[in-house]
Amino acid sequence: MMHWNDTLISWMGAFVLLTGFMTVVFRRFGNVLGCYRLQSIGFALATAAVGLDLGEPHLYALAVLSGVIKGYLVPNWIGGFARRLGSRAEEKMAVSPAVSLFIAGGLLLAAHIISRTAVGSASAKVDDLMIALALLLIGFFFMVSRSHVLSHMMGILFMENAVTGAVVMLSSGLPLIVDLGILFDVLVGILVMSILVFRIQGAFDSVDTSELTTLHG
Amino acid sequence: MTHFNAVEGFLSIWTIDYHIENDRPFFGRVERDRLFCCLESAKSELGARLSMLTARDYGRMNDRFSLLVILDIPATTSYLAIETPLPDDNLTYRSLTPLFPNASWPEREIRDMFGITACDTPDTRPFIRKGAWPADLFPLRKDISPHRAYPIERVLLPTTVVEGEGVIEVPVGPIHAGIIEPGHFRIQVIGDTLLSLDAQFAFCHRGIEKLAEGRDPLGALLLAERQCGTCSVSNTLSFCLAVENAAGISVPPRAAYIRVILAELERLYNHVNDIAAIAAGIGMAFVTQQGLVLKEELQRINAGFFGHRFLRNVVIPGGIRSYPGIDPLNEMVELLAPIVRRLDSIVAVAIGNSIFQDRLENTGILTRSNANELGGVGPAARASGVSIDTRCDHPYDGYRILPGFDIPTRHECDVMARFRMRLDEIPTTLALIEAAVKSLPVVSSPIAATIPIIAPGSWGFGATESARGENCVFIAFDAHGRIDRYAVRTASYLNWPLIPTTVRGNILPDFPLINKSFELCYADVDR
Amino acid sequence: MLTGIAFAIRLLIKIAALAILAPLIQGCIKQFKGRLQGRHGPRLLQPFFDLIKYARKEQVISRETSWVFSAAPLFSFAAVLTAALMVPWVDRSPWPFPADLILFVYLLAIPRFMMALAGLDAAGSFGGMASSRESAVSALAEPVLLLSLLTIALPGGSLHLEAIPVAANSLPLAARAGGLAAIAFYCVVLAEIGRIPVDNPDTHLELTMIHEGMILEYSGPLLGLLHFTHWIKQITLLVLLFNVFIPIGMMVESTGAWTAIIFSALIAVVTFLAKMITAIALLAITETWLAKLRLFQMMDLLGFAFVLSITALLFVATGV
Repeated sequence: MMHWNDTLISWMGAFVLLTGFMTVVFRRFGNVLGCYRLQSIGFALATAAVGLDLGEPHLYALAVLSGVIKGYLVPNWIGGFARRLGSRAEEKMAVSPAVSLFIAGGLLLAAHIISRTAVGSASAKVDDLMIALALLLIGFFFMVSRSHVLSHMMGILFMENAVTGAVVMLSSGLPLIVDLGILFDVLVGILVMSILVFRIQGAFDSVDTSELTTLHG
Repeated sequence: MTHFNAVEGFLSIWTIDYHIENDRPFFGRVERDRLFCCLESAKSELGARLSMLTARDYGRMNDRFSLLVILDIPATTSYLAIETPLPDDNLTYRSLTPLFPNASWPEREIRDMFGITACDTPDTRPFIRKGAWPADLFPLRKDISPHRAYPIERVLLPTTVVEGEGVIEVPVGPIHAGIIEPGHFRIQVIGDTLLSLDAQFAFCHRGIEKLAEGRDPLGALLLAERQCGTCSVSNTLSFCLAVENAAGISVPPRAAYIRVILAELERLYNHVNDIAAIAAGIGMAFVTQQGLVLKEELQRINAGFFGHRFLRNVVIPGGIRSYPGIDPLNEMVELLAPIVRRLDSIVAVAIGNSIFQDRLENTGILTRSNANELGGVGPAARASGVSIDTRCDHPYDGYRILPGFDIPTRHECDVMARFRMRLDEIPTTLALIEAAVKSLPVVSSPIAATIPIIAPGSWGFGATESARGENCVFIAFDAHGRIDRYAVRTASYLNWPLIPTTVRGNILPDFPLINKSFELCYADVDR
Repeated sequence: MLTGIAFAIRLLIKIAALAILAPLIQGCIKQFKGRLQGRHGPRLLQPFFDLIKYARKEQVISRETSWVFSAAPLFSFAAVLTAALMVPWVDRSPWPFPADLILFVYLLAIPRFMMALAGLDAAGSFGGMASSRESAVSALAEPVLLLSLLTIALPGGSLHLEAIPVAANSLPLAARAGGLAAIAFYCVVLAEIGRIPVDNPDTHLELTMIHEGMILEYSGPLLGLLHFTHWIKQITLLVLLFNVFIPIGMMVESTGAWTAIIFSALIAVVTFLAKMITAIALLAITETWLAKLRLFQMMDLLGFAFVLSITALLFVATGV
């Protein structure tokens, strides 16, 4: 009989993977943001469960902080930019949603193989590694397959989520100060990126990066 | 007055004779052979839009038929009517369709109803005639009785043919799976992508224009009121304005304000209905049902305060029949505000739903140039950035005296824009109702002017803004003060031809949604 | 193993239960949907009255049709009924022949094939359009149906429908793979029974129809039969969804004292009804909450379900 927090970790693993798949299907920025919100909350719950498992109180603090910041503040903040940019939410996709899905499935398979060769299939952590790796790859794919600047931002955030999740699940997290530093980094990163987004919007009247290749007089 | 002078200058150049009177359309008579050039010049110099194209049969031996063109001159608040007598031995004229694309339907209709042919017109198919009378019989001529049965001829529906590999034609209607009016759509598709659409109407032609002939204004009022359900006030109002225009009278102030209230109440329940209908087009049942509840409440308010769910039997030539009094009207205004607030919360549910946004945005784009060229009117044109509203451009009744109000426009041109357009117009409507109620004079002045005996041969023109756009009526009287010609051009008649321009490239299951975003009336075409 | 007579009696009881429950559940869904939308909704027994009405109506069959048109509803009904009887409801007693999930999935393919043919047969434009859409939907839905059921069946080592719930119970960490497979299965159920967001069962817009479009030409008793078939398919898929993915409360093997058997049977029936109520609520809420997807985006939904079921299978295959 497995312990309930192990079950929770396992469930959250499936859940964040689900949100990962959902991100590549959605065309609308609002939905992608919703996925990010759910994924962050899933990771926060998993972090708390790991903390309970290992008896590490600093992981609770990290769970609460990342839940609040990444599950609430950051999505609201970015949602605010999207409204201020006033761009229509539907965007051009380099790859159609259905094809993206199959690519995401392929990435999961790749993550599966890589994680098995990296830590060996006997390791208890192999599946957590697989999910984190898959999410990292899906986040990267998400970033390259979209042309909206805000989607690029979201891609980075998805990858960040995956990396932090991997660190927490595989090595029971870093010292709290490092984790806090990473969270702070995320916030500063968003700030810098948002300034850039507004500069791009101001200079090119569009936040579609595929249009940045044309010359403006 | 420079625009006024420009019109006068134009008339003096092109017409045989012309009249300019206050509060009446400019009128000029133009020779048949100069008509096309005259209108070309009107279009380029005065920026004229074609409001109405129809014909008259004077029923006399010589100079029996004439063609009547009514233009909307945007720079002035007046219309310009141009009459062109046709020689008896040659009932043809040069087609106006190349000049005004929206002349195509009226030209086909004039061919069916009067036997007057437009030369070089791109579309020669019958429009009204579906085989209920022989091809050589022209119902609106004076020698044809509306009370006689004529042999029915079986005709095949004329079609356009689109050919090519993989092109499939899907005929839809005129009898549909749901309880809607008859319209026949021939849709050419490649796979599920729409290639072209040919819409045909007038399957239930009722001959209202013919039936009105020979009646006095009050008798014809019943016909005008019942032409269609949802534009009842607007159609009646246009009719009454035309009669008043012919009689040369104006309505008392109380009636003028009540008419504004009626017209805006009609707009309100129509807009709420259209919002619900668009939600129904994508199967969003919650929003549909809640919207229909609100529409029902609005119609009950109509019935409670004015005695009829469609606000019939209130407007009469010369004024109004009755109204509930100022206190009940103030009460009514207070009932409307909460309904609109509830509408806002329901619509917020719809707009926040990503499937809803996905289905509506970028669907059925009506480009601004198409809306302009085809003479689109109403919320559909305003959602494509064309700022056109009869209430502002040609104010009538209370709209002349009420303080200025906003006519919002949008620029996204898609189904979502048309959805939001209706929402945007509702505050204006509420404000107008409130202002009209506030401005109602308390003194007991009459609410209807008496219609004097109408001078033989006089005519009048009336135009109002319905929930779908501008509805126009032209009325001419005979020597006994009875109606000699009653011609109607409704907003739906102008806007139906817009829909085929919006569907190309959309997928077939989205066509009903695009259609609903215009929510046009079939009965207004099958009049 | 049951004797032939006992088996026949069980089948008859199940057919009777189907005849009552299938229309009743349809009525409950409509009623609950109506309530959620702020309407009174039709009464619960309305589907029964509809069936009686259809049975009495005149049958109009287009001159252009062939025998396929009249035969398709019968084939569909037979196939769906057989599939429905294979699905365990309250007990797990085995069938006398291999009633496995591959047979089940292909029994459900028969009505799709027959109805697509019937839609084309009348040569109406809507029927043909609906047939092509239905084929597109089922091409994606069928593999997901099979894969998501396989996810649960594989660890148990048996493809028999009655064995799957047992396998699900014994599957370690069924939650993770099962959760993903359940979501995939639910997406497919929505597509298979023609509900929002894939199809709108209440629409009158011919151009948007899928399932309704194929049966547009039918009338009278055959139309009633088609509706009844559809309701049986609906209840069968819902039962399967709940019994496979939430395999609680089902009757255990009938050994021991008869009181224990009756007690366990009672529990099984009560759980079953609770599951059906949940299913009704789930469907009604989904349909009220969502709107119909654009035709081509429904492929995204089914693609999503497909990738989910593959992922679930991957989890199971690697013993997670």
